[in-house]
Amino acid sequence: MKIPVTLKVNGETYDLVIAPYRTLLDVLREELQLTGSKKGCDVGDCGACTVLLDGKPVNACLVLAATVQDSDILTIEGLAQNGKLHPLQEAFIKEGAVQCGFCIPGILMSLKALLDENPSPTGEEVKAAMAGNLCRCTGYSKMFKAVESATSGLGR
Amino acid sequence: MGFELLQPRSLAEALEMKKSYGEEAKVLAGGTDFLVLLKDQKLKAEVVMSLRGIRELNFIRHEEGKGVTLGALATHGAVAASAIIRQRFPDLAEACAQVGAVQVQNLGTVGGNLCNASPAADAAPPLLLMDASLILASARGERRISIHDFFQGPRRTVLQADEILKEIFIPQIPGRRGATYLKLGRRKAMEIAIVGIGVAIHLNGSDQVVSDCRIALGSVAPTPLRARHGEEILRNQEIRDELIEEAAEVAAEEASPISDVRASREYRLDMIRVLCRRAIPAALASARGNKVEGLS
Amino acid sequence: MSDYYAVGKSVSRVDATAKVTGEAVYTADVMLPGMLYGMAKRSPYAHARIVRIDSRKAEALPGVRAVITAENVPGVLLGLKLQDVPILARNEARFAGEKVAAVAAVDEETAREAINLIEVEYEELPAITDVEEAMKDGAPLVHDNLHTYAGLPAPVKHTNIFFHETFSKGDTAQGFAQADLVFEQTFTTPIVHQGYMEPHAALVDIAPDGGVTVWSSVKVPFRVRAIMAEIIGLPITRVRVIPGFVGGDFGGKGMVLDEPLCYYLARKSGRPVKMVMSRQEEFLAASPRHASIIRLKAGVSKSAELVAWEANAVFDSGAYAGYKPGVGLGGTKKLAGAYRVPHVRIDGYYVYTHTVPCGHCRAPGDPQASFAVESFIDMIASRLKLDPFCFRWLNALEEGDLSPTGEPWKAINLKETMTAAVNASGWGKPKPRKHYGIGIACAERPTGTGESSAVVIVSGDGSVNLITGSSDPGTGSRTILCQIVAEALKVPMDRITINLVDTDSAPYDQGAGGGRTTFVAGLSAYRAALEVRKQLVASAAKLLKCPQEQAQDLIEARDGFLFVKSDPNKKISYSQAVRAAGKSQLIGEETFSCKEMDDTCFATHIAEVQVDAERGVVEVLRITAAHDIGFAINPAAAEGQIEGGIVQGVGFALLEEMQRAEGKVANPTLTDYKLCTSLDAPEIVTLLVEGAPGAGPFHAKAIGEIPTCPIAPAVANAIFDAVGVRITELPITGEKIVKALKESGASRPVPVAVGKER
Ligand SMILES: Cc1cc2nc3c(=O)[nH]c(=O)nc-3n(C[C@H](O)[C@H](O)[C@H](O)COP(=O)(O)OP(=O)(O)OC[C@H]3O[C@@H](n4cnc5c(N)ncnc54)[C@H](O)[C@@H]3O)c2cc1C
Ligand code: FES
Ligand code: FES
Repeated sequence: MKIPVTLKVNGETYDLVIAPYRTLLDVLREELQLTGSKKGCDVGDCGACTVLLDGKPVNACLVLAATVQDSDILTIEGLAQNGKLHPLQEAFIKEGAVQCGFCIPGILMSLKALLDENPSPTGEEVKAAMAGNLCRCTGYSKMFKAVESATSGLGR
Repeated sequence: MGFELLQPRSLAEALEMKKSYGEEAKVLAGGTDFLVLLKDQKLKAEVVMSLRGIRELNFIRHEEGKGVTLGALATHGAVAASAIIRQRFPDLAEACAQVGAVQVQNLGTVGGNLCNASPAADAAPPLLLMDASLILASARGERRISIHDFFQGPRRTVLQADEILKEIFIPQIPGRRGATYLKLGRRKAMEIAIVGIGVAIHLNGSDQVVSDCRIALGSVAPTPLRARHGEEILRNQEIRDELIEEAAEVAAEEASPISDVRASREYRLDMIRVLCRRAIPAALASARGNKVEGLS
Repeated sequence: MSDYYAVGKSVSRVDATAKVTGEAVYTADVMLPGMLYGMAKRSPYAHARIVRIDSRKAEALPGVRAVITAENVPGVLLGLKLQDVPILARNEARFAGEKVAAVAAVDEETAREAINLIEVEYEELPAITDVEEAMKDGAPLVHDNLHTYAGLPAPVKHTNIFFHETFSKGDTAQGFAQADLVFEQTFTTPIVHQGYMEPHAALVDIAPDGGVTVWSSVKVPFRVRAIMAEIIGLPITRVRVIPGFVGGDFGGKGMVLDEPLCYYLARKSGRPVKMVMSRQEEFLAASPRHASIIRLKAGVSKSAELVAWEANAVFDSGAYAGYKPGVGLGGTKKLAGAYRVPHVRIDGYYVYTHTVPCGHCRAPGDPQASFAVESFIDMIASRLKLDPFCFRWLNALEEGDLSPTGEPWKAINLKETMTAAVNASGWGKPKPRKHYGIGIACAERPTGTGESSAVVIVSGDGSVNLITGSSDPGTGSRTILCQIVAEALKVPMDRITINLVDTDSAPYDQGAGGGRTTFVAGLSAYRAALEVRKQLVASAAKLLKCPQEQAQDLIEARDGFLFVKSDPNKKISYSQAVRAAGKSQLIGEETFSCKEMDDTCFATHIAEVQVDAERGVVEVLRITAAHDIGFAINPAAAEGQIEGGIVQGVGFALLEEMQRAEGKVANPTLTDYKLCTSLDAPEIVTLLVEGAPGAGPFHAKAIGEIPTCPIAPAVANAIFDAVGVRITELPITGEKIVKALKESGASRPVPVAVGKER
């Protein structure tokens, strides 16, 4: 049985009719065609599906869409504002922190939440903020560098 | 996994629903255990009741002189960030901060961690140290039970079909308390504990004589447990290396770990000893207001 | 630095913006109207006879549009070389996780329910899950009809050992007789997963006229096309493969998995069908790295020179061998390292068992060989009381030496990498702390060969298209190809466009893998660009009044303009040159193919670790990695390959293992199959050692695969240095270290002192 569900995603309101078992990740990807959030495991282990729920990073694969109707949801598609990339996006491009790209949306969302709360994190804080996001390609090094370059840019 | 979803807005409503559906309505909090089990088809649900909409359950409340109460929806992230918890109950803050990683901490609740009743639940050992009590609510009323009586085995608790966990109460502890939670995994994050150990030391007056010592073990028995005999060895004693050794030895004897994909029984027993040897001095130092550095 | 125009620079990736905004489309992101969701039913048994499959209940479930079993698919056996993999298990399931049936339904949920409703009656059969047991005479056979299979390198019958390869040089009997000391040791490595973050995905749509379109996460679109066409019985050109962005590969995305099932489900249902593997399916039934048992024997002279070397490797292939383009693994040849040894004999055995089939994983066979050889070298050095660096240095190959298996390699740069790594690391310095250790390991791996084509088009407005079918599973190769074209044409990068194109829109390309892309696809792009440049110059010569026969020498290009060297002020734009040729675009094309290679690459890694001896926990503090790269076309991309390879290698060393219980993968989740998190990654110092004349454009060598090879032994050697125990079985868990310390008697830990107040 399907139920009506209203979601607020990237500042837009969507009225949907969906089955209650559907996860936020599946609804984002299949109903809203917001396929930037990735499914790498579907059980919370990889972080590729990370979105912000009221500003906090969560695994969209572990959230039932129908239970987050009161929340503001931000996905990778909403990270750039008015066609302008977020400083983290700029820095990831510039530092060569992107390889296959599959982990990138999730990682950027985790880092965006970090910087919103803590604009000049230490190296250890950056690592801890990303620990729920697996990346197989990069070895993480260039990502750490990218955060450094984004935060020094933000500060100025 | 087609199911009916109940979304109560108040505790009273939830309890009414639980009354009419009973066992059939499975309770969903953060979903970080629940949905994983559901997707693995290890759990079947016809009716799911999400607590997320019940604002009144999402709190951390401190009452001076009494203690701290965690609402059932308090997440690991919120608990780890709470100033009062960090100050009074660093072991719980440390445990919550070591659950999975940020995303899971933002979803997963301490309540769900207990109700899921995994032997490896990280929040359990600290709450065992604190003699926390759990408020279980049903339309019939509330009952308060000690956390020591809550777990019945892996994934089994005393929760009745119509009950939900409403709150976790941590009583204020007189005197000076120092405590730590040490978790051993193979990675630095995203780990289910191979062994998790909480130790609390209470000082009353003297800095030398320990008025109480408490040791709690995770991942080494069907439920998280207190190592009461190990504690005995240090209680009312002036702590010396030999006593720590002995307590660690005895604590290991109280455990009954299994071998699984994560580690062997032997390694787990060894690690209880090692982590006890580290946690006891760390807890003592923290009780004395003197942090020992370099422990993990 | 250099006076290159576009290469040698860390330019941003051409696809980075699409990837940071979530716009990049991966195969699982593609949705077609009316599309169905496919799912496979898998055997729970390591070995069983399939007595009966009853799919009536599943077919009756509302929303189910097709159910197929082996009866609905051709009985062909698939394989990139050895052809042994059925599309669906027929009569017999040979590993736990093998597909026995598949469904297509309107949504994932219904598909899952349908899978549960398919009833399969199995008769469980004895499973042979231990590779050494499988090698014995009289062992139950995984494949009864092995001798009938296509692609067997040599005829064999009634055995699980489907391939035995040997390499030799000199006479080892004589060598060991000459040796003053002989050492022997056995090493083992477990099955490990490539760990790409994007699970396999496939989508097939059949047009009313029978033409087939395939979307696939595989990195070899042309290979998918050929395989699909052959199975279906269509001309190659009737199958169109549309590649998506590939979310990581590491060797695991080189063969069709669910594509044929999607096709037969689509055919039965009349709708497009998509299948995306779950992470659990990835662990149960993709094509991970082979487990190995490696026995080494070395004879050494009094003066510490290696004189004889024997290696015997057993690779557990699992139930099938068709997932890799060779029947053997390149790593077997590396089992004597990169050292000067006159007498060598290597035996490699490839064996079937009733376990998950293995395939290619980043430098297939090499990390296994490297772990054994480079650990062994340290063990010998230690017995000889020699510094591990000195012992290596003494025996390391130099220019002019023959390889251990007798090949004449070009540009042997091993010692350069050793020197660079040692100089930049803590090697030879006093230990900063107790239980700190440092270890070294070297590796060698050739540049890959193959076939690629490229088309370079300069349009009437002077903008440039590079059309290539080569895929970029995240390595940055498409960016590098653009840099190469930019260099050849001397146009700014932003004038060049490269799109992901399907197999109808690009000329043939063998696909990424084996460290070939920069070399093979790079040279094809370079030559295609030079070809078009020739045309531009010829056309400009008319406008510049430069004699045609000298034009190619006298005319230079810069920033999209052409001019005579002696008169740089008189410039012709590319746009003018194209128009002057009387055409709307100029086209250069090249197909480049190379089958044999005497060019190889070297690397030296130094690992620094801190061991917590009580818990056995190893922290990899820093890896210093020196790589013989010839020339780094995009240094940041090269570093990225190295950094990623190193962290993958740290996982191989310390964390990763597909555990098996009765043949079945016991830890099929990313909770228990552990990839390094950001907190586990070491600091990495990358040293790009340039200057050797590589075979690729601008003398570039390959870099994609070698970085994973020397890490595990470097870490193992560092652990030995730190706590004095030698672990010969990967992964090096805390548990193994603690056990080894206990056995060595060194375990009694010093009690932690209670923090005394002052
Ligand atoms: C990637 C990942 C990593 C993890 N890492 C760790 C870790 O390091 N350490 C650790 O301990 N755990 C870990 N977990 C498990 C899980 O996150 C925790 O156990 C979490 O605290 C569960 O809380 P929840 O709110 O998500 O519970 P849910 O999943 O919603 O529920 C869990 C169980 O408790 C019941 N329940 C929940 N709340 C109530 C209530 N108020 N009344 C009655 N019943 C209730 C549910 O019915 C269900 O049976 C991890 C999980 C994931 C996915
Ligand atoms: S897809 Fe959600 S964490 Fe992996
Ligand atoms: S860039 Fe490929 S997984 Fe991170």
